[in-house]
Amino acid sequence: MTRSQTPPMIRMTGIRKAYRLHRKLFAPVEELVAVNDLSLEVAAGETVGLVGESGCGKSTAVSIMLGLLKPDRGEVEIAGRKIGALSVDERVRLIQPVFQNPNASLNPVKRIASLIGQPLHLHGGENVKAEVARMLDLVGLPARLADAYPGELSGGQRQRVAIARALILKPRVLICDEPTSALDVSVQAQIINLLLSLKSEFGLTMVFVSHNLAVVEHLADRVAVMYLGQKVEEAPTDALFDGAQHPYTKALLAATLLPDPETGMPEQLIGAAPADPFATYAGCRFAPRCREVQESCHTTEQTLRRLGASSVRCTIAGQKGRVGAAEPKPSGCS
Amino acid sequence: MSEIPVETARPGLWRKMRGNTGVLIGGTLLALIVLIAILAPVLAPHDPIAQDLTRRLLPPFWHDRSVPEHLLGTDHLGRDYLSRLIYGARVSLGVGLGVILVSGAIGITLGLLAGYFGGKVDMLISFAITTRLSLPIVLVALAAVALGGASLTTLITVLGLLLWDRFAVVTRAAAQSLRHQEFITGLRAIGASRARILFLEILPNMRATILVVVSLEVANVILLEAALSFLGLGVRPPTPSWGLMISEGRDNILFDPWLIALPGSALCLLVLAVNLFGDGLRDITGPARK
Repeated sequence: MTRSQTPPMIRMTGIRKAYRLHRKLFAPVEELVAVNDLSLEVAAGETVGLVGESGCGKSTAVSIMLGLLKPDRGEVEIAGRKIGALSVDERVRLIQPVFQNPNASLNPVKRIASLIGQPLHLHGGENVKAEVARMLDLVGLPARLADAYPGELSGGQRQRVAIARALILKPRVLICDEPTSALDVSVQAQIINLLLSLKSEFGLTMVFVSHNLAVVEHLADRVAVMYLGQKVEEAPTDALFDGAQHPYTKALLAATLLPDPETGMPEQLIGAAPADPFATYAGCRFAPRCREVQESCHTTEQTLRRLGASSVRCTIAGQKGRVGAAEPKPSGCS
Repeated sequence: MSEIPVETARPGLWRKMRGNTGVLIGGTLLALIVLIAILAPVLAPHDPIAQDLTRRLLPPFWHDRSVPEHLLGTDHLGRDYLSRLIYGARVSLGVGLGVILVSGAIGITLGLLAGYFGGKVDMLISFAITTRLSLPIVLVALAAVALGGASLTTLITVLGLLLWDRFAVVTRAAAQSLRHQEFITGLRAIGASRARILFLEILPNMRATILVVVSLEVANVILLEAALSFLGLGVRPPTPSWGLMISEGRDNILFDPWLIALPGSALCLLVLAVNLFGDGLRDITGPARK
């Protein structure tokens, strides 16, 4: 990783966000820690993949990054400025999201042209019509769709509309919250290639949230893996896919399906018990499901430490006989 | 030349309406009544409040004693019944529209706020809805009219302030299901104001639902106006209202039954038209909504 003198495009430090929930009538309020001690830096022009299973706090992290949710603790800086200090207009021109489900991320009663032009319209842009036409062309949609409604478009087309809408203000950061997971496999590739070409055209910095490791390997320069609100491993993409250090990352990699019918179902390197976000842990949060768990894991609090090119939240990773390279590597997932 | 069915990309509301018998019949009837109400001064053969005591209680045209100038006869004060019926449509539709504007504005705003914000706001507004539902409408209207005096304005105000509950309940439920959609988060990410999100983005998504509630409520209001006028609490004589006409005719119910049958049928027809139209709309817009 190279650290230049200019501030990173995104810097999150020590973010914590908890939700207070009433799970049962008359039961005391419980705290669900969605994100805990999350720090993340994304350099200008870099693409960082944020990976983890459902409920690990990815989407909360995204909302905090976008400035839509205030963290309980910690700071978010975009381009060197605290996100709370930015005006709405400045924030909107810096950072924009693309969401998972293009069926739900576009207001169904608005026409495509007005959907794409809306950010510009709201922020005093001129020549909205010409800009919309340019964006339609840029994301590979025919101009005749300008008067259509989202319901008349295919999933892939809708996601192109969502991308055009996010980019019309020429933001510097694009946060993609699982932009391909609701799409057909054949369309996923098109959208990813579109994002890649737009990234170089606009000079975008990207955060790519996904649980699809193959997509992340293809797109990201660096990958951060989250488990129950914590970052458990962060490494350059190659290093992570060649030799994951954290047992959870290894399990994630091993669970990737290969496009080969002969290999059967992948081996599962993870305990069956689902993650419980309400539980409190003295030690490692992953310990109840970990295959390599040791006595000390349940009591020792885990902190991030450097291990080769990675930083890992696991005390036993990298110990003798436990090198990640010994694990089966998914080779065909790119 | 043979007709080739043109497949449009957008089978819009208009297209679907033409395929639904209920909407077609109800809509035509409703349009007809609205037209009659608008054109009342042109269509009415006589002044609806001009009395002619020498020509009292003339029967309608199918009767032997009928007079050609008064097609539907005259009432106990010698006023032309057809003219009164035509002008009465104005009162019924006017009250229906006026009340819906007031109650719709209140109910939709409250429902949107409750559904979108949830939490304490929702609790407060839900309490208001429950409170409103526990008030008997006729009784409250009676008290209000007793205090404010019977007039069209009082009637519209009182009913408007009482009948917003169904709007509130329906928009609240719809707003609740819409507020978690990603497009709301997206709108916040592009810096759209709350008012814009509520009234320009969420509200248009409910227009089909609201249209149905409007049609059901209009029928309800028209009947209520007739009932209150019948009780002497709504429209004041000599203004012709169908409810009032029934009320005035009830002394002669045995010998001149058309005095009641005619405005009664008109009322029945209008409510039927509105209900058919509303039911049909619900059928069209309901299940296939995306």
